[in-house]
Amino acid sequence: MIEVRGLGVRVGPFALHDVNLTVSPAEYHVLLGPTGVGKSVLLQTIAGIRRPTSGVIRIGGRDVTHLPPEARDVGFVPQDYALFPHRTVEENISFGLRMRRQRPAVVRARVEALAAKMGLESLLGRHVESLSGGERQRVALCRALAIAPTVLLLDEPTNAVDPSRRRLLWAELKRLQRETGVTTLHITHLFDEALAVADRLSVFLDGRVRQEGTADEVFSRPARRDVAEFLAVANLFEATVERAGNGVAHLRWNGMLLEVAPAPDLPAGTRVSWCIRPGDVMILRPDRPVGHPVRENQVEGRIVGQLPGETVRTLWVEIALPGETRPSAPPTRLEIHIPNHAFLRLGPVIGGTVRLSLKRSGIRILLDEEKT
Amino acid sequence: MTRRNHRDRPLSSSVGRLVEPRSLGLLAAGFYLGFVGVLVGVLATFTGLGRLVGALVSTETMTAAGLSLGAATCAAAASLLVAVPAGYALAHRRLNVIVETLVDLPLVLPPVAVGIGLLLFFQTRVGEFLETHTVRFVFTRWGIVLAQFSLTVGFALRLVKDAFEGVDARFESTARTLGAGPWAAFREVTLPLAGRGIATAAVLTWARAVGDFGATVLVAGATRERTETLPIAVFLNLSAVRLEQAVAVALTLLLFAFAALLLVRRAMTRSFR
Repeated sequence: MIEVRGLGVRVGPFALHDVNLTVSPAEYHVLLGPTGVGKSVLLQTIAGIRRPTSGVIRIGGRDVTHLPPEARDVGFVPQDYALFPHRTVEENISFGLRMRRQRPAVVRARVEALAAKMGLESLLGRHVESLSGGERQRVALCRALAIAPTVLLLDEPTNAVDPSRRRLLWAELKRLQRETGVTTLHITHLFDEALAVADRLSVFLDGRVRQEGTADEVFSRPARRDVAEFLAVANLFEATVERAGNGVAHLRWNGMLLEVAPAPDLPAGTRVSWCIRPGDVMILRPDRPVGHPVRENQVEGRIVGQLPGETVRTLWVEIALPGETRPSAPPTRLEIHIPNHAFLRLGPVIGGTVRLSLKRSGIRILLDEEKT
Repeated sequence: MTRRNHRDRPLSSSVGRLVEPRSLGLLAAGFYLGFVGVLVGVLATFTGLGRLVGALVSTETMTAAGLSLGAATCAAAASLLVAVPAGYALAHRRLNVIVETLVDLPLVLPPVAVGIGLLLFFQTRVGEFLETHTVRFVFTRWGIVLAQFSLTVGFALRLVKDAFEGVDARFESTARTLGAGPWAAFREVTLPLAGRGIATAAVLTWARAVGDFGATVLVAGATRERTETLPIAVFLNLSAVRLEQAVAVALTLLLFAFAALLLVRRAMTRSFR
């Protein structure tokens, strides 16, 4: 397991302050954040390459804050892999074992077993310059795993890989992590990658972990406005709490009153942000007015755009909110995902008028930065 | 667009190719080789082959050549002994601009100035103490090594530092995470990766030491067959108006340098693929 408490690191003019992060044993944890916020610096500090100015790092329950990298027992895969260019693939993989003064026979057996497991046998004699991006990634991973580390640290491991090959590597990473059971911390700025591999993930913004949870929790229920903005959540709006209590809240959204449940208890008059997933907006069909399961938060709008997709169709609907005071204000636009088969039965598309229902359980109230 | 810039007009292909950077560069390289060829040619044709061979195998030339090789090798080795650890320590480090300039300063220092500095140093108490209690430098063969070392150490440091800077620091830090201690990471990763650059630094340092005249002559003097390196032999023969002998020695120096550089280059290509 990895525990980071109150960590501070300084790199030239850049600094991290009071970083906290916990990765449970055998967990595949993804640290997701935009580029240039210090994710790599944090990982390098955990690996021991950078010295922290404050705080504590524990790996497998052992305080390693002041230990040199070679005593930390971490498998580190740096960005672009840093494979030793003057060595063959085999020499790269066996490097850690040789540094641990293992007997040559033991080293050879372990390298061969690992290489077989990762499909690298045919590459062992090659020089690393001749490898493709994907091959390099696997060799770097193999080299890090050869020392049977307590934790595996991956810094943007698919960055140097052709995008079309990434899915395969995600599956491979996930499989290897399951098989070895090694506690893994993986940093990336790619949402797809985080969703594909993470058991749990932390969103890292402005040098802090802003939300932690399963991938599904974080993506469908961002806890804060900055997290929602970073995750590019569609349909992010502001409203004022009209009244709230007993798990139900009513939000004043211009002239409209939105019912939200479940909802936190908030004092009336609080300004909040809220969002709704495009899949949680229902289109009510005029030909079936009775017995529609969802009738909450109804609003009317005009379809202004659409985009086909593999399984869902994306629609943009401009809605006229009652009591919208400024005529110059940009129209409020909702993004909606509906299954392709439902889209085919929808009838008129662009320019057509539709009635929408915003599922009250789909609305997520986000607290602003200062309040958490 | 109706108006065309006259630069857009395609040049006739042969003229166009001539003014490309690579072609112009080849011209410059050809000029340089021709220039060196003329210089060597003038020296080589000044004297007959018989005289040249005679000068080559004379005791004076042989002694001077041996001394030149020995002293330059010692001086270059001593320079590298300082330059490798210092270059490693200073690489990948943002240095104060004054310090950085100080590292570069010996590159522009004229050899004569280095020689005067050393001579003046041995006039001081510390210098005198060193001379009486360790080895005598002034007007001895140790003086040759010291002069050449003083001349080349900054040069070697600059080149070695550049060689280490050419090695991405992540290789070493990754080696550390894999279990290599600081010494092992240096020996197994950084040093081999900087090897080619360090070898080049060694060759150039040695070449600068072999060719030195100014610093050597001031510290070690120009005593025939005692502190007489090849450049000093050229000078001694010139001042005695034995022009053919001087030219023969100069050619010997060229021959030795050529052979030595060739050998080192061959060895390097063999060990660094």
